[in-house]
Amino acid sequence: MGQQLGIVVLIDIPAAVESNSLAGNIWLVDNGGWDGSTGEGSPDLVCAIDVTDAQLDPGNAVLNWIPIGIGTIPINIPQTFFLYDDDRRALAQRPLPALHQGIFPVRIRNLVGDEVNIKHPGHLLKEAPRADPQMLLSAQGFVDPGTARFKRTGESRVAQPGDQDLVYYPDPAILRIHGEALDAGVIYPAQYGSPEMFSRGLYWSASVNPNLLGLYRYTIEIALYYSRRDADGRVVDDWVILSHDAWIKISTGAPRNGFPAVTLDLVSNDAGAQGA
Amino acid sequence: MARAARSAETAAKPAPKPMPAPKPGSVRQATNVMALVDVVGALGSGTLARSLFLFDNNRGAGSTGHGTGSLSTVAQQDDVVVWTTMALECEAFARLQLVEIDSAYAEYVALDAGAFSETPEVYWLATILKPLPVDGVPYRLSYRLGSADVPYRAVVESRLVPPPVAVAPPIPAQPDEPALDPSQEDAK
Repeated sequence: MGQQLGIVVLIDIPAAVESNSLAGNIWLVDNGGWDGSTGEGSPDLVCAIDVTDAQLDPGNAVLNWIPIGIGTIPINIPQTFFLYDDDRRALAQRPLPALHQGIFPVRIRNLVGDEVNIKHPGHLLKEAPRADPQMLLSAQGFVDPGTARFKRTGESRVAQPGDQDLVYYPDPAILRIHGEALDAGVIYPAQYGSPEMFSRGLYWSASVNPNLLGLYRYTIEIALYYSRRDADGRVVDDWVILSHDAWIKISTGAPRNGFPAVTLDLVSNDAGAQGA
Repeated sequence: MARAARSAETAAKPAPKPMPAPKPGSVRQATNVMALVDVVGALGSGTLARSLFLFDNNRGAGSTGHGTGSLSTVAQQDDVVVWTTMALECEAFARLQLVEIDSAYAEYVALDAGAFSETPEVYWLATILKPLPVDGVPYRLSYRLGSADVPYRAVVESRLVPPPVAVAPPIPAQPDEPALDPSQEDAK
């Protein structure tokens, strides 16, 4: 099983959009600190990949990129959180069999034989949930009063707790990964689809060629989405595509065993210097 | 039956509001502080020292320390600061357990915690009651990680700080220095 590395790309979206640059507005963190990754929490991340046991185990190391906007809604929040009140009420309704008991059997069993209470199904909400007045959907977003109201009152206001129609910045999306590491055939990135909530359906992932050691640069192209007003005062969606460089360091240098005082000649620690 | 009665009762009564709820209309700005926690790293090393990365989205106003375990977030009176958490590995569990603020600073901030509706995702909320002291209000974050039975406490403290005062250095008067004419400027 190859090493799995997650690379979280954090972006201050409003600041990056405003300055049309990722410089100073992007930070990268990976979970390879134990393996020698450097620059975590800074814009200049070097991911260390240890391919020492690639000969023993053909499973390649895998990189995963997860772009996040700082101040967007936490990524673990299920998508149902974004439903409007109408949809919530619809979800909280009794299912049809419970409303028409003469037609449908009231007591049913599921596939594994457990009795299912269709009058009060466990997975449905007991009542229509109300929006938490304390809940802040986003940080410095502005409440969009909508086109009609905007034209009448001519004002927008700062976001407040309990606001529902908050304009927020969607999470950034990676469009492409290119650069030296790809030209040299070191990593093979692609976008994959996943039903997992965590990745919101799509994520970029790359397998690493364990035969090329050294330090390689790659470039991520990131799309940032935002809303703005056009000349007529209408709210329109727009995006800007910005790129950022990061590095990976592939080495076989991991003298990690139970005998730290013992050094083996076949385990060398200088692979990082080869490419640098 | 009792359960049905209770749910009917709670449905009839509006949920009690937590005490330090910001009054609608009084919030000037909401700032998010996002903590990225390397849960596996912290559990492996037994400390949050190299496994806690803090970020906020108020760098434009002068916040500093992004990407480190010690963040200084600029906040003003009537601001709200929200702490949220993300685990570096999506399978790992991390929850903000405590935002620890010395009671000496009780007059400056009101703390509250809650969960995003219908989710177990916890957020903490600080309402800034009055302009912050010059040195800021220090606080310490503690997290529940994995199945560890004790919370992990940040090794360094972070701060809520007032906006930096822009001090423009006075331009020294140099009446003797002749103004450069364009030809000299080109020569440079």
